[in-house]
Amino acid sequence: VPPFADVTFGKLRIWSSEQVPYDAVTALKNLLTHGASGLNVRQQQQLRKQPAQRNPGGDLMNSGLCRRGSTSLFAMVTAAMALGAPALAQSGMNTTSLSHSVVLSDLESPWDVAFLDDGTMFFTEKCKGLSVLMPSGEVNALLGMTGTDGYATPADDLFCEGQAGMMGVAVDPAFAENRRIYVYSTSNMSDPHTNRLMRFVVSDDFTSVSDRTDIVDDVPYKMAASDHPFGGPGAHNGGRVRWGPDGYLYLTTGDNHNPEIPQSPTLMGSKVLRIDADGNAAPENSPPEGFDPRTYTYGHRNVQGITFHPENGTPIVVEHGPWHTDETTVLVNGGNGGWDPRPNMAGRDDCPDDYCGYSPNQMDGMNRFERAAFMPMTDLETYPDAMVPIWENNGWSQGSASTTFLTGEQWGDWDGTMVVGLMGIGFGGTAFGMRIDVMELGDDGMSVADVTEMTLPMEPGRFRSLVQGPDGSLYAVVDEGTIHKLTPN
Amino acid sequence: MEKAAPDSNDPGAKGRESRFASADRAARESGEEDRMKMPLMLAAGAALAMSLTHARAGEVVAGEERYLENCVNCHGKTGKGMASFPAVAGRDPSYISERLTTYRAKEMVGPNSAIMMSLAEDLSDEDIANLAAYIASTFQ
Repeated sequence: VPPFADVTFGKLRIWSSEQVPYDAVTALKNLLTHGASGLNVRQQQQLRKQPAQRNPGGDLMNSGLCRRGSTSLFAMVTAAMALGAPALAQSGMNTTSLSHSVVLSDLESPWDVAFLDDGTMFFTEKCKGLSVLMPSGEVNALLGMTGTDGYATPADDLFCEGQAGMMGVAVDPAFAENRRIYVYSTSNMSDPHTNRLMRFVVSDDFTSVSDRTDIVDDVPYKMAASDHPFGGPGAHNGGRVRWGPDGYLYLTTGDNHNPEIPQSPTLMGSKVLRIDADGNAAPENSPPEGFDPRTYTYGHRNVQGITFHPENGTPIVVEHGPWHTDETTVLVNGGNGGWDPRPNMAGRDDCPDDYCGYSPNQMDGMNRFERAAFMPMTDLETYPDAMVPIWENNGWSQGSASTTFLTGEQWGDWDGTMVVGLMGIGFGGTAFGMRIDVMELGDDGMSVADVTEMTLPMEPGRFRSLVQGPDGSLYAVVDEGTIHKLTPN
Repeated sequence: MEKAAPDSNDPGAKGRESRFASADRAARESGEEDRMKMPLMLAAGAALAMSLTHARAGEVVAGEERYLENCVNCHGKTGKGMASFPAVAGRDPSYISERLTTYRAKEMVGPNSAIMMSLAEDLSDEDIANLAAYIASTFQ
C-alpha cells in the first residue's frame, strides 16, 4: 500500500507505510500544519543547517529528517501539498501552544515525580534517593540511598547499578489522613538482591520519612552481567508505581534479561502487579491458574509507563521494545503481553546466554521487521490470546518510558489525549526519537486514532516520566537532570 | 668628509670598539642578544600558535557538531552522563580516542557497547580526533 495523506474533518492524516520513519511523518505533519514553527527545536536546527528551499516539503526532504523511505515520503509530501495542506493551519492539530519553565535542574538522573494537591512535589533520583519540593521552593532530602549524605532518613540497603536504583514514586490517595508514600527501589537487603516497593510515612513538616514497610520485596534483580546489549547488572526492572482509579496500587516490572521470567507464574518480573496498600493481591485479579495472585498482567518485557483512561479507568502501559517495536497496550485483567525470549522455541535456536531478547544479530543494526518476526514483542503465534498492542511506534524502538493523560479544558484539542514520553536510542540507524507523542485514542479507548509529536518549547530530552500536576500543567522529567513544566497557553 | 673606519691605531676607535665589544659581551652574558631575536621568534611562535589554535578550534567546533548529533542524547550537554550512560567529562583526549576507536572496531568494552559500536561505526579518524578535542577541552 503506497503512503498517502488525506484531509478528513479538517485534520491531516498521513497513512504511513512501513518504510516511512515515524519521526519524519510527525515532522511532516507539523511542518505542513505550522511551517518551520511546527517542528521541535532540534528539527528546526536541522532545517536551519540547510540552504533555503522552495517549499516546505523540500525543506523537510533536505533536512536530514528523512534519511529512510525518502522516495515514499516525497510522494507523501507531494500528495499532502496537493490536498491543500496550507489550509490545515486552522485544523486544530498540534495547535496547542505551550509555555515552559524549569522546575528543578542539576538533578542526578531524576526518575519520577508525585504531587499533592497543593503542588508539593516528591521526586526520586536514581542513585540518590527521595526528596520533596515544597510550594515555598524549599527542597527537603528525605530518603537517602547508600553513599549519599544530607538525607534525613538513610537507607543503606538501597543502591543503584546500571538501570537499577530508585525509580517510581506515588502518594497515597488518602495522604491527607495517613501521610503514606510509596517508593520502588533496588535493595541489597536480600541475596540475590531484589527490587522492593516500600511504604513510608512522611513527617508532618515534610523533612523526613519513617515507618518503612516493604510491601513488595521479591521483584527480581539482575545480579550478573550477560552477553547482551545493555547487558550489565541491574537491567530491566520496570519501575513505575501508580494508584489506579479502582483504589489499587499498580507496579510495573521487567524481565532482567532472564528468559524464564516473562512467562513465569511466580517470578514477579515482567508483570504488572495490582495490590493494596499492604502489598496484598487485589482479589479481583484473574491471572491464569497457578500464578502469583498479585499478577494483573504478565509476559511483558520492561514496562516503565502506566496510566489509566480518564473515562473508563482502564490501565494502559507503554514499554520498551528490543531494537524494534515499542508498544502501547491496553491491559486486560489476567492478560499475557506475549513476550517470551526463551531459546529453542517459536522457531529460534540457541541465543547468547540463553536470552533471545535482542536476537538476531543483537550487536548490529538490521531491518526491524525481520527482528520482530524472529523475536516478536507480542508473540501471537505462540500466544494467540495475548493482548494486542494498540500502537507499535511504526516498528521502531526508541524507548517509550512514560505516559499519562492530559485532562482539562486548558488543553484544548488535547483534552483527553494520552501523552507518551520517548527517551531516544539511536541504535543501528534508528532515529533517536526523543520526543513526547500525543495520542488520540478511538472512541472505544481501545485503539489509536492519531498520533502527533508535541511541539516542544524547549530542547527534547530523555523523557523518563510524564505527570500532570494539580495545576493542570504537564511535568516532564528528563534523565539529564531537569524537571520541566509545560503549560498550555 | 669620509667617515674614518675604526682603526685599532685610533685610540678613540679602539675605545669605541672596546665599548662595543664590551657591550656585546655584556649583551651575550645577559641574554640581550636572545631578547633582541625574541620579536622574530615571538612572531613565528605566534603564527604557529595561531595556526595550531585555529586547527584546534576547528577540531573543537567540528567535534561539538558531531557531539550534538551523536552523543549529547546520552552523555548530556555537560558530559556528565545520565541514567546508565557514563560521564565523559574529565576524560583526556587519548582516552576518548582509544574508546571510540575500540568501539568502531566492534570490540566489546562494557554493557553499552552495542549502542556505541553502532554510533561509532561511521566515524572517521578525523571525527574521533575532533570529538576527543571537543570533549576534553569542554567538559572538565
